[in-house]
Amino acid sequence: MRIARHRSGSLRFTTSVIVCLMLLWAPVQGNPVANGISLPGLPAVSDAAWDNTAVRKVLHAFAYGGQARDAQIRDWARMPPARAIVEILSFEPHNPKLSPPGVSDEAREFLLPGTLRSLSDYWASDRPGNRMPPGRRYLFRVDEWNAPRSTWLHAARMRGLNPFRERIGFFETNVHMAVNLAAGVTTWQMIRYYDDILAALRAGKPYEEVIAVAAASAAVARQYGHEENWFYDGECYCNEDFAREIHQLFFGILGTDDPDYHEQVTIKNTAAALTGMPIVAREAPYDWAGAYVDFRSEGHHSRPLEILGTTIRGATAREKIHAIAKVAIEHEESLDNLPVIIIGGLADDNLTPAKRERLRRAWRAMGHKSLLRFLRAYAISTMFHSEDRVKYHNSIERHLITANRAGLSNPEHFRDLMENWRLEWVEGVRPFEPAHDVFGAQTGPEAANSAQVFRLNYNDMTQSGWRFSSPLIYYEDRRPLERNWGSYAPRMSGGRFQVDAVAEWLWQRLLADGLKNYGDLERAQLHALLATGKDFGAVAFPSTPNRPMTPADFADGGGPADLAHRLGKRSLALQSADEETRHEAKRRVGQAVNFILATPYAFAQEGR
Amino acid sequence: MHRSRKITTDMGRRRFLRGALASALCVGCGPGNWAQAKWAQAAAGSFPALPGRVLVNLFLAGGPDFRHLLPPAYSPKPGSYGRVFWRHRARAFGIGDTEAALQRHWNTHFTPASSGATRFGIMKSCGWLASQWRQGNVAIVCNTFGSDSRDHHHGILVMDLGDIHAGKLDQGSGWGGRLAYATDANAVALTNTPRPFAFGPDPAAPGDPRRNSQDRLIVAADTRNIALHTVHGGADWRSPDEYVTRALQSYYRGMAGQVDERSPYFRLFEHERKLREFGEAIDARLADIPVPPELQEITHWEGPVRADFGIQARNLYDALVCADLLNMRVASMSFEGWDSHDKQAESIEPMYADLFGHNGALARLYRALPDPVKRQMLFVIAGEFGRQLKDNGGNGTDHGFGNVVLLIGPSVRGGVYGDMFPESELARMDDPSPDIDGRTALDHVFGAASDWVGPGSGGFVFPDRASAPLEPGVEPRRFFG
Repeated sequence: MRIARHRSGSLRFTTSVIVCLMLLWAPVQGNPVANGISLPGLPAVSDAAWDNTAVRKVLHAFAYGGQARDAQIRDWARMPPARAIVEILSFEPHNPKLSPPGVSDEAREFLLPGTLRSLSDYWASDRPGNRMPPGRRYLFRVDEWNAPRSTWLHAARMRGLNPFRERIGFFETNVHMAVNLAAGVTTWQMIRYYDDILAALRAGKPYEEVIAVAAASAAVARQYGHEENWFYDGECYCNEDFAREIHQLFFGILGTDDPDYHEQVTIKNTAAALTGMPIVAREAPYDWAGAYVDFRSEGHHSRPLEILGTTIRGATAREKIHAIAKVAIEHEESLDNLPVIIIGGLADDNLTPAKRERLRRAWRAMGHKSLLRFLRAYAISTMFHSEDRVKYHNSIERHLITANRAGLSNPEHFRDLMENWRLEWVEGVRPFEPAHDVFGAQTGPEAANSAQVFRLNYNDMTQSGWRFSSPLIYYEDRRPLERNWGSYAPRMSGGRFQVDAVAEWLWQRLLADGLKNYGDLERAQLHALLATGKDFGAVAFPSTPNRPMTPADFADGGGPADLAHRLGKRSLALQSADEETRHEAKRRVGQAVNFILATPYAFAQEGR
Repeated sequence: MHRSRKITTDMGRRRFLRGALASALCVGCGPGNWAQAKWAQAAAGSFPALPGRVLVNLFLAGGPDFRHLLPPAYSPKPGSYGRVFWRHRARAFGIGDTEAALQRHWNTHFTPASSGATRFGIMKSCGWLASQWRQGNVAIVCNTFGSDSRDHHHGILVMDLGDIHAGKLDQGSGWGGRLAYATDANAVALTNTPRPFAFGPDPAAPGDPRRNSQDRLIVAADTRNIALHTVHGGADWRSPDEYVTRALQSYYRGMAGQVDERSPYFRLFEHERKLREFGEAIDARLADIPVPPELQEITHWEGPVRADFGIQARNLYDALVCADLLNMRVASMSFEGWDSHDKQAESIEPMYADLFGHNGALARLYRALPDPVKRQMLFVIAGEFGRQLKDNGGNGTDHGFGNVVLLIGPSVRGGVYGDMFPESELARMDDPSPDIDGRTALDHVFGAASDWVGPGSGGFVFPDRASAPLEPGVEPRRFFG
């Protein structure tokens, strides 16, 4: 016992030191007023509306649920929203408040630069302290097909990093400016693409420069094939693919005001601008895999070109891309469409014309187009926190929200709590292989419209529920890891865990709906599962457990309602000294998690 | 009840035949023609009477270049269409721009075909399509159009909604969903994600094209795994998973009818309801009906046809076996990857073969279906726009406008409708972005197909059809015999 206590104390000390270091290392975020959080068209919610649920909704929408502790969420809810949001959303590689080490973590990942490449190298390595099981390390090697998605899926759930950063990284590389491993983009190109975009965002570059960095990348050149475009003797040996999509997908310009001009001048000349930019290897083993573009004046249309009604100059394609970006970001169509693309892709599947107009107003009001500023203003706005906002979760979002809210520590994820292969091989969704190629990954509405996705999730929760209901996590020959719900679940004043409080806490933790959808039927089933490990029918009607029940059966406060209430007052022995008793309590928590995640509420989020 | 008895009665015979097939395979015959023929003979009894004619919409996302599949006959005559076109497409075909190379490519890669004075070719690797053409089962409707923009997203939306006036951000009912509504049936999505094509009109306002409902949509993305996990039985001991399963069964049953249709969660409750309603019935129906070997073979990634489409072909077969349970009159399929800006020949020719080859998915499906089912079925095959008339410097083609729609089925009156190779294109061939004129709005083509499925339904499905452009000389009612 003494040894155990000593180890525990040592671990707590180490963790505390790291947390202190992380907090010191955390970016100086500045004064929110000076940062100018609010934007015209996006007024902030009142301090009263900015409550625990509001904070959780921001975390679900922008950070895959985040890994913040309940106390931190309460702190943010007590702050003015403009101050809290600066702490929640940043592009730093580490955000110790949003992603603190878990109780049993040492958060070694914090010591890394936080780029996808550094994480890939680390988790693939045999370096001391790498907790990735040796049998899985190959999945993270940069030259492995799986490296970008293996690394990213871990980064987005790993305590000590920054899930908001990974959320936006995914949006930019898989949705807004999507490229695709299955289309020939190499792992070297993909990882560098991701890291370069996030480096530009972290540096606070204007959004048009972020887009230009993406547009000038080797990944995009490979995806669209203009790595082989050349201009010689007045003839363009080129295709128009990216010449069209840089305007349409990256900036939202369709040329609707003058389609003929757009087709025959802007696109034709952009194709000529995208010449003389072959891919070269540098660190990759051969040119084909290379992550760098060699911008040449030879083979490039070096003379000025008219694009978007402006003369675009530049000795190389890179210079022209950056010049185009400066013009495109101020184009009327881009001003109209880009903010809608961003918010539609991240947070709202119900963008009405009125909401679109407000987003446009906010976007136009920023002289220096900052994605971070826009997202911060939006995340605390009345628009985000309004009841007519609906965001359906795509499969990846649902998977990661579950990972972050049902997972409790990094060691659980090193033991592959979520069994990542299910996402890929059961639901058929693969990060960095977007379902619609350059038009992006599976959308939330697509997932919600698919009975197939619903069925797979439902059957997962009912046939493979042991992932969450097993009190121990086994992996290869490692010592089993006991799940530690007792360190997170709320206690009553006497220190005991009471079923009704734990049920509400789990519902809010996983769904962040402020218990809006937590009705009598949900409550009865969760109380029964937590109190007895059985469904409510088995407890209420032991001989006829399949007897149908509707909310009306609970309306009069009689038998079923009374039973549900009494079940809710029972205790859960989550920290019992008796192993069997403790394991049984944790098993029931896992059953409750499975139940919650199989309800429709796990597939979407409403604004309020 | 009648159906259940029939299934029971047929079961013994099917088991016998399946056993016979298995025996044949065991002695080394393999899934060849004999086995396939025996299987088809056995399977014929598996099919219920269809609830009516069935339209299968196969969407080729990306902008398929049908001119690559169905080019004009090569002609050495200077200035002729057959000469000018081929010279402007030499790079897209992956050949040199010499008379000998062009002539050779035509000779070796295309099966000559004609309709009246129009001479064209069908890619030789698409033997099934050529065979259907020869049987008079293929209508090639030329110069059709949907969206007037070259934006994929907008073009796909317009084709799904069947509304040439739809804006880029519009939502609404799909034309397949409207057709299902008009025929009082369901639209079955065989894709992993249902396309808006299959979304029906809002029953509260069926004439409003900007509102939709999924109440007539059934998703059958994996027909061989379609049921929800269920626990039967009573008070005996259960595993933790089984208690959760029963809690969920009870919960969803209790919530039936409790959720407002406007709730964002309504559609998810509906998934549960439909999966309960159809899942177990389909499982039971298919339990004794093996997947035809030729179709089974293309559901694997290492198979001879792209598996994502192979699975859909298998799903269609199963959905037809269960068409009565599903009340299916509309089915939705898709095949992506036609955006051929680069190395067009390399990229799309194998895909055309996957679709239309003798060993392709549609041929395999056709061999597995009994004739009465085929006679009740129509394929409508289209993409969001055509491609430009001349190739680009990347050996591909860029986005264009007008295109071909293919109608395939025994009820089709085969032929070419519209001017397949307008002479007027010759003068535009060297313009910056020459494309195929859009002369016939999709309303007419899809509207005629709708009328074939449900007589008189075309006017509901395409309410603007009367005012939509139609190429002179084209009579949509003649598409069908």
